[in-house]
Amino acid sequence: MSDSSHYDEFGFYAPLPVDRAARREPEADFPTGPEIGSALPAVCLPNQQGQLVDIRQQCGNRRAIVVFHRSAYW
Amino acid sequence: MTQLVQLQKALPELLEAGYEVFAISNDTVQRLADFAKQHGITFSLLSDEDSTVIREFGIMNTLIRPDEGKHMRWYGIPYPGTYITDEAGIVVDKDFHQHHARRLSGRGLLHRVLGTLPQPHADAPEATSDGNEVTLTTSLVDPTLMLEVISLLVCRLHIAADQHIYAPGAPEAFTPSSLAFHGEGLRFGEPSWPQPQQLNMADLNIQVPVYKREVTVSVPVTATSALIRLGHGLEQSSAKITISCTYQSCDEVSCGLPATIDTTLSVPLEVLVEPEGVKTYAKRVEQEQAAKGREGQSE
Repeated sequence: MSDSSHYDEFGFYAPLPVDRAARREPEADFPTGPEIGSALPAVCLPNQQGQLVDIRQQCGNRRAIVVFHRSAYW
Repeated sequence: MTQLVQLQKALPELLEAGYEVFAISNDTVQRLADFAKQHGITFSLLSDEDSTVIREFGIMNTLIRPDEGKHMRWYGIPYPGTYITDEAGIVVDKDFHQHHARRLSGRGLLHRVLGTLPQPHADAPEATSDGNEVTLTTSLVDPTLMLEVISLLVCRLHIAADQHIYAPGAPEAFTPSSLAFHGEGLRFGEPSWPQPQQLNMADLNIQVPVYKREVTVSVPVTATSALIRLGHGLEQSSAKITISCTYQSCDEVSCGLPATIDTTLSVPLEVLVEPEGVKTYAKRVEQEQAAKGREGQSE
């Protein structure tokens, strides 16, 4: 945990040493998924109560904000 | 304050504006349940435990190999980002970042989604300096800055009645307004200036972009690890931002000399996760994996 080889230039700790490819910023373009103007792919996943949630169905006529994140604890 | 807690704070305004909010990670349902209970999260936290959806979207961080960092669920994480869709489910905007911890602040996301002029947060500090015919007031859309969380600095120029200042893009002879920012350990983005008015200069036979009365400019600002180190608490409680505004103020008849206003804003810093958060996190994952009878803590 205190090993400085596990802290990146942003101060983030991860289980991989910083000299590993996965710890560096992608050098060129990195994928950002569906393009603006295209339909958001269908998503059906369990929520924090363990119930399956279909994003389109839950939205009905409302708009959506869909956040992909590292983990709840970050 | 973590990203989901910030989103929860912005939730009432997002719901009011007609949005549903979903957050997707490779956390297990149990972990999301614990987190939601602990922090009072009421919107949908979706568990993509085996990263199926993350893969379908094509946003999995494939630089990480399957055998790497199992005990922190490192493999399978997405590049972090946000999609905004319309009522028909069409993506109308998105915001993605390369570094796994970088994200818009809750208020920053709110302004982006709603397309509203960024407003200073009621609990954010404010600094004001007077210049010749112009007053510069600066503040922040969030009450604090956190590591790698992109907030917005709000700069308001109050311009005396009957005066105008020149907008960026005006010919150099008119001294277009400009803003410069500095802060040790801070990263600044490009300032967003609003649409200017066009002033007809009949004698020169040209139109010049100007601002009158009040202009609000926003600038992305992020605290870096030079200020805050994850898991180490805070070494200093605030960060100083110096803002310099250069402009030339004129009325219909005459112009003042080009001038510069400087102001300094002191912004409180806040930890992103609790200092022990990262250790706690790794421990929780180990416990879950042990409970499932998997071989945990590889690496």
